[in-house]
Amino acid sequence: MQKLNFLLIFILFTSCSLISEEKSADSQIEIIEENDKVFIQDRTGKKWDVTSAIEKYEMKADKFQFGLGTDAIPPVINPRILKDGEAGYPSNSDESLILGVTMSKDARAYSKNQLSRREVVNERFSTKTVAVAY
Amino acid sequence: MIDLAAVYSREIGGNILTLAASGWTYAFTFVLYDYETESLWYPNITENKLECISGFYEGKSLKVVSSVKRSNWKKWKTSNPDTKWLLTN
Repeated sequence: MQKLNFLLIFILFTSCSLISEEKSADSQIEIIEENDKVFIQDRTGKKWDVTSAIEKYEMKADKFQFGLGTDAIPPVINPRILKDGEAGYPSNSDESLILGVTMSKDARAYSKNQLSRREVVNERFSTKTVAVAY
Repeated sequence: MIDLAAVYSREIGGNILTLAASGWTYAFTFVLYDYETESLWYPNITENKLECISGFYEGKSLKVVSSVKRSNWKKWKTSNPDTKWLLTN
């Protein structure tokens, strides 16, 4: 009986490692070379031309990795900007981590936590249109 | 992922771009793309710019226009009493 248990556990382990191998193979990207161009293809089948990245920027096609997906991390576009006193403005004693930007005499703070889930904030400081990327 | 924060201009040749995560990473760094042309943009840390590595704007770049300070709200608010807070969630 003990031997049988051991065997079963062994089989379970083996099948787990098989599954994880399949997963990592699945997340690998497809590199396609067509008419002197190089494309990397994501999971959805979309092809991205990276010819110039490889030829001019010395990047390697197989070093690109595809994460959660193109629309998985939507950027922030023209966010609401709160002044002191408005609902949602943090209290003075709040010690949460922020990223701060000062431009055109305008100081703005972004929650580090929130920004790491959105990657990019598309906005404007006075006449300057900018992207805050994290 | 590499802990990188920057403020880039997103104005180029009279057009305003909307930047977003492309879904791709390269060397543990996010590759961005723009909604308008789907060009790929990658940070050039030594030259302080975002370079278009592929697509319509290939060869062009977006300049870093401001630095980003890492702090906590309490300290930041003390040194910048008039600071605004951005709702980004």
